[in-house]
Amino acid sequence: MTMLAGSAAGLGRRHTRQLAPSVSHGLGRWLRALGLTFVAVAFSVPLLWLLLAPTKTEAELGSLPSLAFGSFQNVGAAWTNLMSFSDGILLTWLANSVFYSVAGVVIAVVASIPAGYALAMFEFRGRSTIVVLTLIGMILPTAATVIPIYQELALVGLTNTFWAVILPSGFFPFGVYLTFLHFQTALPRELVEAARMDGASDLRIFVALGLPLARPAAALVTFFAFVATWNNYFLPYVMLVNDRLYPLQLGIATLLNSAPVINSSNQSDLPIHKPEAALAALVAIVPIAIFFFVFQRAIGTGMLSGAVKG
Amino acid sequence: MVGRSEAVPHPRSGRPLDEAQNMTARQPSAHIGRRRRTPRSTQARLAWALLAPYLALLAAFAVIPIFSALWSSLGGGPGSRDPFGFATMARAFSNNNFLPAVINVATFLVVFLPVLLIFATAMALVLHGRPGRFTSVVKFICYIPGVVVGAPLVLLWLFMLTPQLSPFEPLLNLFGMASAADVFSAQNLPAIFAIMALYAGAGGWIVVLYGSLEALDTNVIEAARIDGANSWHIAWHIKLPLIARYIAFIGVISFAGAAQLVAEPNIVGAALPGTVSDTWSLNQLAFYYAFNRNDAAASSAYAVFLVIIGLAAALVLIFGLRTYSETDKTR
Repeated sequence: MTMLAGSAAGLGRRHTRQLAPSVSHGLGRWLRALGLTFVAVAFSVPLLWLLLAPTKTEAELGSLPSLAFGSFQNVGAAWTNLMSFSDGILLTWLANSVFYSVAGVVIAVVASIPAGYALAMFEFRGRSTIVVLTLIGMILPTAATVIPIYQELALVGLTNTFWAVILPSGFFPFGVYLTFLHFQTALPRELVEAARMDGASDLRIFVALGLPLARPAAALVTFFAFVATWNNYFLPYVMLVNDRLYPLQLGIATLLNSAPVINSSNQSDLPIHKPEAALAALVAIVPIAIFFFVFQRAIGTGMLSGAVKG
Repeated sequence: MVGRSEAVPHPRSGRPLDEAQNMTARQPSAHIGRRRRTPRSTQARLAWALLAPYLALLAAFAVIPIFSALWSSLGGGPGSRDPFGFATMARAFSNNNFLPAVINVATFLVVFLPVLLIFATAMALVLHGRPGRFTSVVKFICYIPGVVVGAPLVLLWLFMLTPQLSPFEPLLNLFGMASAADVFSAQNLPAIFAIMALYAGAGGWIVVLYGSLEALDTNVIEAARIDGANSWHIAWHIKLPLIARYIAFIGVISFAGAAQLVAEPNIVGAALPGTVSDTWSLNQLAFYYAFNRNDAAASSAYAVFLVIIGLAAALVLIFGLRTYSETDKTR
């Protein structure tokens, strides 16, 4: 922790010395560097702790300094213990998370691209109503409708199946809005008109011009829909009973609930303690973190920040 | 019929994206199409065909559930124990669990929203005051925790708020908290959920606000600097008013999301039995009535209440603040 704070402050100090024309300015810059360093430490220490936690044993977590490194053997031991939990069900949860997110993305992209294209390119009765409904749909948090959706899916017998997670995740109005914005700027009118002059039908223009140009929009929809589905807790929590269908979000909550991770009054004999729980959390975080950074490099930070849902 | 779409509000400033939107609103392609004897109805038919999959999802996972929840909350659902009318709502909104849940969520919002807005705005302004490597590093560090959401987020903060484990132990001790039981007391819960939400969410909004600052007209800022304004004056008197609408946008959208709070209380309650009630938040209440009380009608009444909160936020953003069409260019 001190090392990190030191290096960050050092960065700030260099800046300050180079550019401080007056004493009051110098003081202001010191305060700025100090404040920002404090924020950076507060934001990085929890994640750093989590990364280091599986390297320590349960006892070491209490006795060693909180940001000390234990050993790699401990990580291996924690992994073995974690795999002993319900015959390695963690891997099933991981596979489920991947499956739900990928399937949700496929539905979201397949539905969003043509819909966004139609809203951007054609004028027809009812268009503005659909745009408004789409805006409302993307602002209205999904949690609000999860239980009514459960009641509906119960009528058709889809609850406690993977469909109950995938289908609602595929409804992604933000994707339609992104595609709509994209086609308003990406497809030059002259090109569309030239194609029409040549006798191309609107359908053909969509297939030959629209779809190839939709790639950036599809990438954005993929990113946002994947992250939203991967991180969704309440939807699978309501829909699923069978723990073999759980995604990681529910699985980790189950670990916390059934093993003596935090709650010492839990008399379970499971070898799931704090290092194992921290490792399980990392299994959930690392894939989405990698996904984040890969996409960020491809598309740019500005584009990916702040999905519109709370 | 040919009327321009009112859905995407008219921009207040003539920025590129807005111009593009005005252009579509004029729809030159539609006219050309008609002249080339492509009947308008063919275009409309294709539009509906392209929209069909999305509209099916919109109907199945938004329109139908919302209206059926409304119907059910009015006593219209199968096996309703109340006569048709407002009896179910009256029963749901007067029971002993509803008001505490409203108070819990409201307390959480009162703690979380001002801190989020002030912190994110201050960070964006301070960072934007002096761009450079240090600024990018801090921005990035604040942004990373955005990948920790839901169960992993709760697990992380269960550890961070347990004095024996936490690197923040001295800080916790300073507040007189020596054990997890001290920390996770009923009156601390709104603040604890606010810390979790801030940790995961603030960085993304800092980046959004920073982006909106980058998009500002540099001439205005330069002019102020030439007139002798210092960084503080520029931030407070020039930049802040110019990004006020984005801050309002973040406020409303965060309000809508935070009012739905459910994963955090739910998981803390499961990990530390007895700390958080099963009906702590409004969404938990809706869940409890649907599954533990088998009272779909009351559950629907709560769902309708939650939908109305979200709908109000959406209408404020779309028609009140007229944010859409503009906000996305900062992303």
